Amino acid sequence: MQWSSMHRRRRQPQPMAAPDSAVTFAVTVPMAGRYPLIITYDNASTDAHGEGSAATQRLIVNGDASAAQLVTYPYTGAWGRFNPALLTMTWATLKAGANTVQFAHDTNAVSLQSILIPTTP
Amino acid sequence: MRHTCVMAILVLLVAGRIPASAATFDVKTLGARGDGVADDAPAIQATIDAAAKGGPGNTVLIPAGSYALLSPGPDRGFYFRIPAEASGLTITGIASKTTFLVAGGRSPFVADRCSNCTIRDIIVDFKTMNVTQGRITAVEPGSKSITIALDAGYAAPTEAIFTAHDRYKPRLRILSAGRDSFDWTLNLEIVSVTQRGTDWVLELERELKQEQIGKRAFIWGSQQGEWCPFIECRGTTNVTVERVADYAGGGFAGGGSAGTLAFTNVYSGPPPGTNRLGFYGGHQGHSRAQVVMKHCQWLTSNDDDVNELTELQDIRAKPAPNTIRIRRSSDYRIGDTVAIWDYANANSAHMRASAVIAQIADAPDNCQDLVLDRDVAVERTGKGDGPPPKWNDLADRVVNLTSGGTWTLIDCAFSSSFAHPLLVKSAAGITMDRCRIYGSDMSGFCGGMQTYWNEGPQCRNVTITNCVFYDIDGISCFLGIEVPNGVSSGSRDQDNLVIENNVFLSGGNHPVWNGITPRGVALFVGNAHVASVKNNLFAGFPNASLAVYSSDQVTISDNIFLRSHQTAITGNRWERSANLDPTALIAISAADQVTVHGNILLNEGPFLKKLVDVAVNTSRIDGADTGVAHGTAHLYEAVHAVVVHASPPPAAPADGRS
Repeated sequence: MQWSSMHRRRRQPQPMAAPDSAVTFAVTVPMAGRYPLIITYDNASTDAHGEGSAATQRLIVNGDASAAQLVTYPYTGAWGRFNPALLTMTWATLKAGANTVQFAHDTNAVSLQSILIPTTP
Repeated sequence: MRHTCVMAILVLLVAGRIPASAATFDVKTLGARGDGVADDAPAIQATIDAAAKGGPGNTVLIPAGSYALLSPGPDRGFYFRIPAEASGLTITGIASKTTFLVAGGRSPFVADRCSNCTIRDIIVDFKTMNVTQGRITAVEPGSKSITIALDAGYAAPTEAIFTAHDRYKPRLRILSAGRDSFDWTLNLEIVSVTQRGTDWVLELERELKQEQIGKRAFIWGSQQGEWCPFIECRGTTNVTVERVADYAGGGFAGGGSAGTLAFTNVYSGPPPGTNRLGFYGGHQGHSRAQVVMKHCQWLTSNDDDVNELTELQDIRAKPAPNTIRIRRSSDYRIGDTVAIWDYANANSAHMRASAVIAQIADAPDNCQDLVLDRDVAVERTGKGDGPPPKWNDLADRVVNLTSGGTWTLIDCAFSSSFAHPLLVKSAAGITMDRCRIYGSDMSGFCGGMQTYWNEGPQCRNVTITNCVFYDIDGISCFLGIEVPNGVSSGSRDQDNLVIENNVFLSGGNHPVWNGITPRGVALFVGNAHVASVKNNLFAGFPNASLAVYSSDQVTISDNIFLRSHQTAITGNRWERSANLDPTALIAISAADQVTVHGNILLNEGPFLKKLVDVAVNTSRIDGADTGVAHGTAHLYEAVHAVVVHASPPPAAPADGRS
């Protein structure tokens, strides 16, 4: 939050507006398969009219940018809330063991707090 | 040769499509000032008329400026009429720089049987604000008085617009905590107002509880007498609206339209970045047009934000074996397929008969006769009760199965202060992708008949993908027939439903208006034939996250259920009559051929009693015992993640905000 606020005060772009920005999670799963990624985030991006806008990121699994898929983040209101009732979700195909899950800039700005990955026995 | 040339010119003239004839008509040429003071309504109407009469494809230009609209148009209900001779007319402002200042209570545009017209780049706002608002600072115990501190810049409640007259009694609307919309249980008449220092003391019709202290509240001015859409279409063919922001009412009406109603970047709601409260409009009406909305927002209405409906009419008489008599309506045409419904019995197979209209004839008492292509059975005729209907008014109903157009909604937002954000009761198809539906006292998206309001009949080919539903008190996404005293188990007319990759969040936070709709259900699949519910996230629902009723060939696979049943809930009468168990994660009743597979449940609450409840009158339910598995949650905090910035390097900690 402080970061976002600081950037706004300086009239600089929102953090995710940087075209080369990304956040990477190291994720371990017991077996290969398709897993849901439940994401807690903030998106207070606005358009030219000041209206709340959805943001998107590219999801890149294990560095394979050619297979990137879009993740959509609906507008959540102010930065710094990470409201647990406002989530988004996407799916990723992971291999057994260690994986990297990278969320790379696409459109507008997003702050990610956490991802939740459910597994079954 | 000369003869050929003359013919060619004649053809061009008759066709009226000589490109060089299209011209731009500037409203300032006919005297519009755009200074925010002078009444520009007559000059703009005169320009529209001149451009429409001048030939097809003309443009009305409204240069940058604020245009005060003070005098009514040709009709009290609106400012500007786009006349029938308008063909290919474009009315355009300058993006973000052309503003209409209106008094409210009147639509900016009526598109009256015109064709291929476009309106774009216009902002609409109040000339004088008709809402005043503030925060409740005190509730005097044992009295009906409260104290309210007005927000900066909002008018005193003694301004004429806020005071009572013969058609208006001022009311205080109080917002639900945490929601940008009012609480329907608190709609209180204001008896008197008195200034006390900088605050105002309001005498209300009844006493408020202390818990209302600190809540935001507003008074809506009397000029907003009725809902007034930005554009009301009357028998139009192809209307395009682009980059319009309406802060003074909003919405659209599509009555009797054909072709396409295309809306792109249309916004109806309070001005972004302000704290303004109040009501904004939506869409009402029936039309056969294809509705296409992209990047539109319909926010904070005092009723359904968007409501597409087709009448469900009482059958007044049956003058011949193949003829039914109904109240006169423009909703029926020769060749339409209609169905007759036994309205008195929720559990009858309601589609008694369907038939095609062969002829329509006038009948006495403002009625018309639909002559059908075959004889039909009608058990009970007579005048049915208007909404809310009495369940036992006994008259059979007729619905038109043909008249709903298709809807395509891409990246749109719908929120409502009261009732439904998105309600489409009749459509040949609905495609929703990347839409956001939130903040509702009733259900969020309703697709299908609502007998409570005599409106229907069904939606087919519904595809909902990548959408988010949240903070909806009733059913977040309701597909099927909603009836007052139960659920029709007879119909499976909602063909081909696809609900995939959506997120359903946090429902049932407040009581549901009238108690008919169950509280806190995420998705209701009713009256469906062939449905796929796949790859969705359901988080924070106290009731059954998913209810399947009177449906067949339903697949429920690879969904994630999170934080279900954290609070206790008892089903309402509607759920009991349908045998839908509110303590189950997935409730299935009166259904056939349902497959439950590969779903995961996480962090369920103490009030979850069953994973899948299979009630009476079901058959061929696969995976009821195995289709939902308890999962283990693995949480990865962004603070532990690696932030990569190639260039320029961020002057910030690696806290995950990339």
